[in-house]
Parts: sequence; C-alpha cells; structure tokens
Amino acid sequence: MSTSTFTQRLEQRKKESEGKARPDKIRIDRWRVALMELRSKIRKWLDDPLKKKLIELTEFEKELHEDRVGAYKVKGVIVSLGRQRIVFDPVATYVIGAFGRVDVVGPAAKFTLIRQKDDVHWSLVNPNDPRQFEPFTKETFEQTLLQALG
Amino acid sequence: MNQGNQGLLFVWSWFQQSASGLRLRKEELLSGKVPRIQIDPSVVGLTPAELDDLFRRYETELDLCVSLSLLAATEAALRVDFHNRVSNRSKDALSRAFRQIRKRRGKRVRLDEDILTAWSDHHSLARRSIGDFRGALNLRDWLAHGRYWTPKLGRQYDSQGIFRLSEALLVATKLPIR
Repeated sequence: MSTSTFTQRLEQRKKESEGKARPDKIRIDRWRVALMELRSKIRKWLDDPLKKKLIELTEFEKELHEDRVGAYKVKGVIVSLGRQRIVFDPVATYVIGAFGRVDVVGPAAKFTLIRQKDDVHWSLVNPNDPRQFEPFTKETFEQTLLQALG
Repeated sequence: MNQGNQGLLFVWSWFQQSASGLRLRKEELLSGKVPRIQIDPSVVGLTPAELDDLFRRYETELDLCVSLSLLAATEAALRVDFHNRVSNRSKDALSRAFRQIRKRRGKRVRLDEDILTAWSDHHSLARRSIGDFRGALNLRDWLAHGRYWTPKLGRQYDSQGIFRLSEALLVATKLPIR
C-alpha cells in the first residue's frame, strides 16, 4: 500500500469516527442542559433560605467517564447548611431506561434523581421502593433535602 | 406419588436456558434499544457497570436456586424409588431393607440416615457417589432454610458440580435421570 493511499484511508477513518461521535456529542450537550436546568430549579426553590443566608449553594465541576463517550466534564451542586452538606452528584447520562441520573447524597440519606427519556422533567426514585418514581417538584425537593439532612 | 417433581435433566436444561436468557437480557438492556415500558423500573437509572454487577448477582442467585432444585430432584428420584420398592414388595436385599425402614420409621423416612445408608450398605459400587452427594446435603439445608447462617460445606459447590455429583449418584444407583 502506498503512503498516500494509507494516509487517505486514515483520513477516511477519522471522518467516519468523527461522524459516529456526533450523536454522542449532542447527547452530552443535552445532558449538560438538563443538569443546568436542575441547578437553576434548586436555586429557585432555595431562594428564600438563600436570601436569609441559612444555606449556601456551591457549584462544582467533575469529570465523568462513560464507555460510549469517554471523559467529559459536568457540573453538580452542593447545598450547605452549617457543617452539613448535600451533594447533587451527576452520575451518568448513559443509564438504563433513562436519559441520566443524579445522586443526592446527604449525611442521613441518599436519593436518586432520574431524567426520564421522553420527558424534560426530573423524577425522584422512591428510596423504599425503587420501582416507584415521583415528579421532582418543590415539595418533593424540600422533603428530600430534610430527609437527607437527617 | 405426586408427579410435580422435575427430573435432573429438565432442571439442568432449565438452568442453561435461564442463564443464557439472563445474558441476552443484559446485552439487550445495555444496547439501549429496549422500549422504556418493557424495562423493569427497578433497573432504571443503573449505569452499565451497576447493571453488570446486578446481573452477576442474579447469576449467582440462579446458580444457588438451581443447585437446590438439582438436589431436590435427586432426592425425589431416590424417594420415588424407595416408595416403589416398598410397594412392589421386591425380593432383593435393598428392597427388603427399605421395607424394614418403612416399618421402623413409618412416614418419617430420612434421606441421609435411612435411604442413603441402605444404598451404601447394599451397593458398594455406589458408595463414592453417595458420599459425594451426602457432602452436598449441608448445602441443601443451608439453601432450603434461608441461608441465615454461615455454612460449613467443606468444599466449594456450584450448579455444575451439583449436577455432576447428582448425575453420578443416579447413574450408580441406576435411577432415572430424565
């Protein structure tokens, strides 16, 4: 095989590989948007305690590694109340039967948030029965936060 | 006799189909092509690594269930044979011994102390297989009673090992494997 043919083939392979990566890139972008929506919802729902300086909200960046897409960065959020912290920790977008998952980890309990596939909403997995999901609303958020704090 | 019991080969075939079904289901779920409505909600949200871990636990559980079923199928074959030898009034030494046991124990005939001991006394060629099968009876008790204690099994068992020792016993005693 001549050098030019070899190089041409490599160019073609690279194009194919980039072409294949595109849907994954779109997915990661959508996942980041979903996480951003979650962070802004949390900020909105905590508006009152934030104004009263009862709690602090800190964003953090973390690197996720997923077999299909490799490494990429996303943002999570930490709610701090005194010395207690509740972390909204993005886990992955390639999860079974859903568009993504965020774990809510507090000193007293851990919860799971699921971004449903055909939906723009987040659902809370019932910790006592993982077959049950409920919409993640201001009310369920407040209950989750209180239970996670203990 | 109740015909609800399944033979050793049926149980073994059921296990192989179920294990391969589990492997296929895992691959299907990992492919992301299963409609949401067909996914058991308790696996929704798992990462591929978590799903892999869960399915490894399912496989272990299936292996244990099948081990219990294999031991139970072998026990059933031995008990059906015991019953037949008692009711048919056969003249061979083992059948006579079984009738003595029935007279002594009534309906409380024990697999290990009674049936296997009689087999061992009257069929020296089956002794080794009987010994191997007896060794696995601790596993049977542990599985059947909910595994709430740490068993002293003396060796590691899996369904394949249980199938082999059960098959060896049925071959040695000339009982049907089905």
